[in-house]
Amino acid sequence: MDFKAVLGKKMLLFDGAMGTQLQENGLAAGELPETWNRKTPETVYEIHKAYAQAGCDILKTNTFGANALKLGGDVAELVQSGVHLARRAADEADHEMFVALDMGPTGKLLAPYGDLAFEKAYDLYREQVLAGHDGADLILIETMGDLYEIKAAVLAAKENSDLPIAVSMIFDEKGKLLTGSDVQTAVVTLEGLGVDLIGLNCGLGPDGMYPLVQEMAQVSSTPLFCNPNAGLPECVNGVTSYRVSPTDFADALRHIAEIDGVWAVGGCCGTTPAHLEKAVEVCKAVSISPIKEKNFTAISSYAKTVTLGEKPVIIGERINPTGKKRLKEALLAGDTGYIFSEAVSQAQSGAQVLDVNVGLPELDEPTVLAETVAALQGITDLPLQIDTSSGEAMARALRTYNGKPLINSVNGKRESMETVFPLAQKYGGAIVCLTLDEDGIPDTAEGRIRIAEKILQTAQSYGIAKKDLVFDPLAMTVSTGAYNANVTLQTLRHLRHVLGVQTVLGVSNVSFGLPKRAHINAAFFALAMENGLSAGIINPKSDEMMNAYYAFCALKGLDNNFEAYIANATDAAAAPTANSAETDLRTAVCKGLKEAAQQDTQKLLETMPPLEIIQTQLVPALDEVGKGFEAGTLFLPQLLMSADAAKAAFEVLKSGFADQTQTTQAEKHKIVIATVQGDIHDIGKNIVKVLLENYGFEVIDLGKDVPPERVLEAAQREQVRLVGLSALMTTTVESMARTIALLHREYPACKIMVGGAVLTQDYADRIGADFYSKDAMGSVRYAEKLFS
Amino acid sequence: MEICQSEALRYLGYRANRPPDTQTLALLQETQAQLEAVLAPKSLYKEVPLRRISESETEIGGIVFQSRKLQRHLRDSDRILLFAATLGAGADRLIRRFAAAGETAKAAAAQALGAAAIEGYCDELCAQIAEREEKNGYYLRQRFSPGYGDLPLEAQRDFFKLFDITKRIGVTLTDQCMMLPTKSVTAFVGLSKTPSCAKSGCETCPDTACAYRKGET
Repeated sequence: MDFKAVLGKKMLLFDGAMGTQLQENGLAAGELPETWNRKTPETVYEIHKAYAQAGCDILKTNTFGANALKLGGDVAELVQSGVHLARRAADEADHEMFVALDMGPTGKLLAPYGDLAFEKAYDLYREQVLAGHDGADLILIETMGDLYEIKAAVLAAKENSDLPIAVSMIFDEKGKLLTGSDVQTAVVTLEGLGVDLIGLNCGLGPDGMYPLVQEMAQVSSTPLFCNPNAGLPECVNGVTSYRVSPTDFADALRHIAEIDGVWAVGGCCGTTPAHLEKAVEVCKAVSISPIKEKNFTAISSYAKTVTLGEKPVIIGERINPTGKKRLKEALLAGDTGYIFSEAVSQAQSGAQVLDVNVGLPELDEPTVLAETVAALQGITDLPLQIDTSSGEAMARALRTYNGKPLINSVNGKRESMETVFPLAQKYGGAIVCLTLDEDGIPDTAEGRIRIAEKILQTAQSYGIAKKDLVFDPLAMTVSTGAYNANVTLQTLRHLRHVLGVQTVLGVSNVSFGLPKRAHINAAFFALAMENGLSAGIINPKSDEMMNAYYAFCALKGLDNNFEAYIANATDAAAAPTANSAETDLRTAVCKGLKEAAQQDTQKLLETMPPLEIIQTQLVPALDEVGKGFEAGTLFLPQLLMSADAAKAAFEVLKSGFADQTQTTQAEKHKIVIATVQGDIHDIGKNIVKVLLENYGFEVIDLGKDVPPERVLEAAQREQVRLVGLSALMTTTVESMARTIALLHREYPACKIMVGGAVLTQDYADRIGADFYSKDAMGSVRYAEKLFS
Repeated sequence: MEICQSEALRYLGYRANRPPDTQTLALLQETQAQLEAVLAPKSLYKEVPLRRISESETEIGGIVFQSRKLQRHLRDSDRILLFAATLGAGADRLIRRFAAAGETAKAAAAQALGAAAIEGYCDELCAQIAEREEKNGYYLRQRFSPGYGDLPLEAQRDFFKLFDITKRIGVTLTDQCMMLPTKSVTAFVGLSKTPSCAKSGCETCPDTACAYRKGET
């Protein structure tokens, strides 16, 4: 019978441990359990058989670590033999049994934090699925600690087989995955990916898991399963053992099985056929309850969930080049630093979600959007709203997004729905639905509501739940039609309170063409929230908007003890005191006062041209601090605080430039910098970058773990005369030597400076560097000398 | 877990005779509060069999490690622990966010504080183990990590095979054998029946020119 036909009809029992059973049979330390599928297949088969005789329903194949990274080769052979052994035991059993193709973590950390690319992880799982799906009844992805790795495995399973998918994760006693996400975030993300069973395994014993399964049951609309260890591992006389007895294990497991929504239980490390026999005895008879649909709308990042519908949510609108010259310039130049600073500053201002739009005709949007989304997830844990009108760009960004995003957007046009809904269905996401269609934007609330209903119906035909649709009643410019705002508000009210869906609105459109737009925007924002707005796409750096937001929440009883309101009010009151310190720009930079430096620059710009500010204020300040550092009177933190303040001042000047359509900026000297291949420590390189930029150099930062060929390619492409390389470890100095040799051979015109904790002048000479910089200022001085 | 601020200052280039200014102290304090909020320290240790094979070969947990220095380090030990600890992924993320947002000073401060934190955390854990073991008449030796002396960093691969480090505390290895999260430590810890009077830490390191060497001015 089909596994799906049995799932939900009765409590199903997974088997127990394979690894610890093999150890009992003599698996040596460091030996890979999967190799026993070939070495002693009978032992593996006997373990399966013992679990079958214990009365279990599902056998996990002995293929947990059978990926190319761990095994080297032989993946197909060991996976196939693993499936075959379990199949044989299942088919010989005296009751109906199922085989779960077991896949565990790769053992590597995925990019951007680790060195395994998402698509590489996908390929590893794909190889296992292709080898093992034939003969299996379901795919079990277990002991997972990273949502991103789960996504790679689930996509590999979905795209290369038709089997049902069960995913279980390893949580710690605080209810967190090793990569930091909580239970709700894991459930929201996995439901977005559309898996058939969600669960927990390993890590904890049944008692430790009980509260976590309860927590999971509260938020999950997907059936649950749970495979605990036989207690926590204890080290007794050098041997790891698990000490919960079969009877105690079975009793505790029964409590878990009785939680609403649990459809399968079993065991993990330390459990034996004896444990499972008891478990079958007491759990098999537990009746299972149908799954209750949880009706909340949620999106997630790798670490946290944002729900729509209770308190209005702030979506930061700033990462969108429309009408923003400075951002446009940054996108075209590939200046991720500016985009990052926009992300961080919006988060600091109270944004809970960030909109990401990189739509510029000059850019390859699919590539840039996917890269920007991935890069932003490396520095912020806020969920993102993926904003594009290109289906291809959306597909690529959704594939690499870690979590369940907001998708911006679909509309009532048939073509739009046919593009967006299949993507949302596959990758997961809550979808922003614009109430317009082939005939344009209706003038009336009735017209927009009709479109909303059409979108809702069509979405359901794709299997997309109502809770995953977030409707946008569209804010039209009030200056071109005095009744426009009323139509929007009326639509909003109906959508939220009659149709019963969540809502979103790009608020600022309303005020185009009017002076003091923030006044109108803030009032409209408050009105919209009062009329049922679930999320506003606004500028969180606008005080007026955020004041309206905090006041609204305080007035509506959405702000416990007025905490957020008071915190916001106190922040605003505190700001001027920093200002009143009355410093001049030069002093502010010398002392490393970032805010003061920004304000002073702003003030100076009223009376002084940018170039003069640089020459009379910034350069002397940087020089003073640099000399102090070189003389040993100032230390690294002071040098860096000044550098950050100067950089902030330069940023103010740059925004000024961007506003006045490209003034004549002197051609800057370019320098390529990188942390060498194999090295993941980039703090030193980042410090050098900031300092070089402040001294007027254009820095092309290739990042960390950069292969020699990429350094060469960038150096030649940009025709630079100087490359800076950093390495922190003795082991990676070798790859520095290789990079230098390649550059000298292929591009001798270029000089190379090096730095890093383990380097010395002597060592730098030996590996052929042109200059050894003992500290960050050294690289600035060398660059100055070289380009003078 | 206590973070030793003077240790962090040492990593940032300060020496005992040069106290930091108030602004640096404020930077450290603010950064430390942000760092502490994201720390998720986890640790693991396990005793495995220890056997000397030759002057440069030691069998630990069934795997042979090549290193004279390790052998010498363990000469008085008849038991050995595998030890692993991490601050979790949060510290790396925070440092990355600071660097990305143009807060280089904070990134450097968080880096130094994180380094001090993981050392302090390991010391704390080892002190707890030592206290327990002293009741059995055993004394802990200093931690000895892959990459120390003539024990190559590649020994990490074998070390990770002996031990469920990745599954249980989330530490992974890159292709070049570096650990992620970066604020992580793995080490062999010998247990001896005699108390140690050997030199430890920086004093034993041959790199006398190292900028971070303790006790230098």
